[in-house]
Amino acid sequence: MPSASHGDVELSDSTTNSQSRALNQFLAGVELKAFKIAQAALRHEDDALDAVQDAMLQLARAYSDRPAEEWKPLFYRILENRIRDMQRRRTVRGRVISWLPFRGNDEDDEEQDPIAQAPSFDPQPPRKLEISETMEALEKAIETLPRRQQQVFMLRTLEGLDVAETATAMGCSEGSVKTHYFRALQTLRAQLGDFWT
Amino acid sequence: MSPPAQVGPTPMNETTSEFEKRTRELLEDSVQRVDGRIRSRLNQARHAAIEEATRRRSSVWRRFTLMPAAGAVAAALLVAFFLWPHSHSGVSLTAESSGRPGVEDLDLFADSDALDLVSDETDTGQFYEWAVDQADSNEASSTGA
Repeated sequence: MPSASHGDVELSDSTTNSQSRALNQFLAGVELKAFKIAQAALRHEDDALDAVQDAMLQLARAYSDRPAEEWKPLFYRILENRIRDMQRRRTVRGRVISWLPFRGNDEDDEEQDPIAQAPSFDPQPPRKLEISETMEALEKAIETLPRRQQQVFMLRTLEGLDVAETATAMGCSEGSVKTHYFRALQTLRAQLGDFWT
Repeated sequence: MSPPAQVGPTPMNETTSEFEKRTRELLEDSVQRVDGRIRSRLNQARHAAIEEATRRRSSVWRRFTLMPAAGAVAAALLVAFFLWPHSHSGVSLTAESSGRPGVEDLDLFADSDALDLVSDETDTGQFYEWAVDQADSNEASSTGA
């Protein structure tokens, strides 16, 4: 019947629209934090962007029909897998490059970039400068954490996942999450003690 | 009188909680400071993901709506498949048209005289001649010639 099928199409359209809105809202809520987590792990902006983009697409492709409350752990699970793949690829590439006789020293060039090394003339109030320094110290300390500790710390602290959600996102037990988190806190407190007093 | 036992977090836990709180604030602050280029690219990535999800849902829905029509076509094909051999054999029930024993052959075997002839192996040629004559005479009687 034409009217019934027309009604079905309208129903499907409204369902699709509401699901798309929900997914959009979810992704908009996690994208910046996900980027920071990926950046802490990969230490490279574009790689972090690629990882987050892949995770978004994969979630939309494979899990957008799942209940919205399942999206967050699934999304971070996908992101974590993507980060791990990129780190592995980077390790392999590093090994291959280390065997090449005439390899470039891009990292050295980057470190000696005069523009990057130049002092900023942006006048910052002392308070803002203090926050920036503390933030920089924190980000550096987080980057030095072992991968699993870093991941647990970022998911728990920045994203606010509970122990069970973090365990789902990482594919490990809740006990393991607690252990990694405790160790991460210990290490960070030891490193950042001066900034917190 | 001794003072009441202290209830609440130990100094160690308190310190840890304060540390976590400060860390969280700093990290959230750093998230807010992400520059426009990154935000723009994340925005593009999000829209690409939404489009992908919408396209996928539409194709799945279309598949479901087309399913009854596909089912009707499949049922029609199934019926046609089972009916086709019967209607084909209904055109002609003779042995020569189908290449298989027809209704006329069954009549021959039902006739007890014919069965006697079949069992007589020495006179098989005569049996065939007789069968042909029988067929001719049946045809002539049915046409009234």
